[in-house]
Amino acid sequence: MKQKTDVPQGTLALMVLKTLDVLGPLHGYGIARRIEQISGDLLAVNQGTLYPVLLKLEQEGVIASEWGASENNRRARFYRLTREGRKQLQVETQDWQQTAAMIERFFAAKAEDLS
Amino acid sequence: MKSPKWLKRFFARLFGYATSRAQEQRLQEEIAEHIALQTADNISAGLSAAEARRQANLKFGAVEAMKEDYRSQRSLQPFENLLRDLRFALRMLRKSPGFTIVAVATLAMAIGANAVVFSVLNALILHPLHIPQAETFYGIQHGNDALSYQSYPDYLDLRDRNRTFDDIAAYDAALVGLDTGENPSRAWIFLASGNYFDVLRLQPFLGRFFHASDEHGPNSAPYIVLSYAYWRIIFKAIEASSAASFRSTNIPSPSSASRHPASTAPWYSSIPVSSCPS
Repeated sequence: MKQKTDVPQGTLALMVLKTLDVLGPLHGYGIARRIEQISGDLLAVNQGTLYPVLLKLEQEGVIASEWGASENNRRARFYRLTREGRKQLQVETQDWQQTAAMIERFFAAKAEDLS
Repeated sequence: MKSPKWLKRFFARLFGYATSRAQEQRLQEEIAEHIALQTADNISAGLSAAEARRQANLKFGAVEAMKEDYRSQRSLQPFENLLRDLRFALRMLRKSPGFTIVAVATLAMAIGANAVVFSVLNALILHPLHIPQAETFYGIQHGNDALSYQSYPDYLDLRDRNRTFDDIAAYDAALVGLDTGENPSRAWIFLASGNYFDVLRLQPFLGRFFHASDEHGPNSAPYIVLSYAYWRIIFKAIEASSAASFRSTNIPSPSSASRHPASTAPWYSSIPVSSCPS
């Protein structure tokens, strides 16, 4: 069985934004579960750490939250992406893809390519 | 109107400080809900109720550590700590009034002494007299008394036998009535010897100064020189005013204005300074 890795700093916020973008308004537990599912259980999100991240994103205005009813009909806080959040997600996705592509090229490069 | 993110966060935190109790409640509810949902999922996955809850708590992680993190995100922790420290300091000061009195008195004296020293420095070094080569001017005192006066005959003796200074001028302050025809008012003036402005090396802004040559012994023609500020106030800097005559202690006189913005006292002189107190 593969060792579960911790979530790298800063990427958790991006994952939260992407999750909300794909699935629409979601409560904290829902977000945590989706991230776990999508990562194929590779990421061990210490689920509690999600909440400070949610608060920070809300303070920055990229997500908003309001009370709603959860599946089992209890009061839950639902988070959704704001317009600004959507914009930021776009920008960060691009940045991330650029970085990933660059790293990939470096890994693909062989010694003879560089001479 | 896009405000930077950190500013947005700052205001959110300020707001967070004001609403900390409601926010604490919200976090509490969110955690409870999170664990309840996880427990329900665990039960449907086949775990016993107790085990399902245990697993849910394990997965959530250390609640208190997370809460600490959350709180420090929520509001301005340094600001909150500062307020707490201030409150604590005030409480301690109230608890020991003796120490408080000594501390306050010490501070008051230190600040007072500093203010005095600075005001002297300010007057002497930062804002010296508006005269050329102010550092070459000295006041002559009699004995150790800083407020001592020289009598007029003494001044004449000093002036005539002077080999130390280029020249020596005399002045004295007096309170007189000034009347331009409509608004008689009281004013502080200086009575000055004829060489006064020559010694100070000042040039008049308007008109002319009196000189030593204008002295013809007692009851020689009196002159009056207005300070720049006084001239501005009374005559509103109208040039025609230089021709205006006005009465001062019953002596009509031609006037001239000197540029001395720092002082609001009018310069006035009757020549020679026959009324110098001894």
